[in-house]
Amino acid sequence: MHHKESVYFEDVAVGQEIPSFVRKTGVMEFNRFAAANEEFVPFHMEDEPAKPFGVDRAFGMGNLRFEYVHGMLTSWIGQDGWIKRVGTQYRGYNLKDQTLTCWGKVTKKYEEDGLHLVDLEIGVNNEKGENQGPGFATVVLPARHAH
Amino acid sequence: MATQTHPAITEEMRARIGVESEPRVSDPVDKSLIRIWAISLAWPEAPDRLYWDEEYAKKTRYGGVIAPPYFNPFAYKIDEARMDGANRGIGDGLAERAAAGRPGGNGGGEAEYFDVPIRPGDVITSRSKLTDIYVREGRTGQTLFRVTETRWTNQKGELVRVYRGTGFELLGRA
Repeated sequence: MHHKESVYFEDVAVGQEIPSFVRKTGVMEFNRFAAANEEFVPFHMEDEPAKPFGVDRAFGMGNLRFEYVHGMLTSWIGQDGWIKRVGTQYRGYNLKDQTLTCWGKVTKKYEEDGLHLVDLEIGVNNEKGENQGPGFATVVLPARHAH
Repeated sequence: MATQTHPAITEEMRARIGVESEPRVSDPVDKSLIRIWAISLAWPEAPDRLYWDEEYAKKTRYGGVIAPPYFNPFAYKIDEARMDGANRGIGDGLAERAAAGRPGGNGGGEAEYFDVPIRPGDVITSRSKLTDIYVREGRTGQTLFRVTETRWTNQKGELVRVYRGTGFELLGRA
């Protein structure tokens, strides 16, 4: 996973879809994130402790879903841009052995306080197409011609 | 319909709204923990060199290795270790939930950044406060929500991140 070449403000259009970020939500992914974030919670590890939530198996961390959204944004904008705001609601449980697809669509581009800003609608769909992470983001991009 | 008056919301809980917690201070950020975080984010792909390769990172506008934006510098802080495994870095109210003994978790969050990435050696101070508490009817019955705001600053006093998180607890059917 590498930062691609910079995306410039001028090259972005409202309505544009940004490259998606797809991840399996398996034991390997859960455990790696648990190790990074010290998030060893029983219902993320084993099926039985997840059952009081009305599901049949372990489910993933909301923080991991949010981390993937960050990964999508940084992969797209490259090193010269930065995330200003990002928010995601967690809807439903991201069960073990699903596939998550983070997506984003440009809704607005504008200048404010000398920054070139792009707003996006974002989401995290499971393999059934259900959006388990509706949200928004604002990123700052470099401009070819700073005003 | 959200309500702030519910038997599950005690006077004590309401009194905490807006009260800032004691600041928590991270250990100096370790490069290896950044690398482990970057691997978990990229897995099964290789992590971005910006997060681990100093020679490479020197040539970028950052001038050195940085942490991915959502990195948590409070993981593995020994003097606050919680052996039940609940993480206290993100500020989502998990500690209170565990005390109540009800199923619950992290319902969502919103992060604001300032182009001040976390770097190896940084010492991050976290200040957190409860900003809202309410009960709403959800898919599995009544659900209690706690909204917390957590502000992180680095050793230079620069604001690194503001995170507004919503923790939830399932109260069951009324």
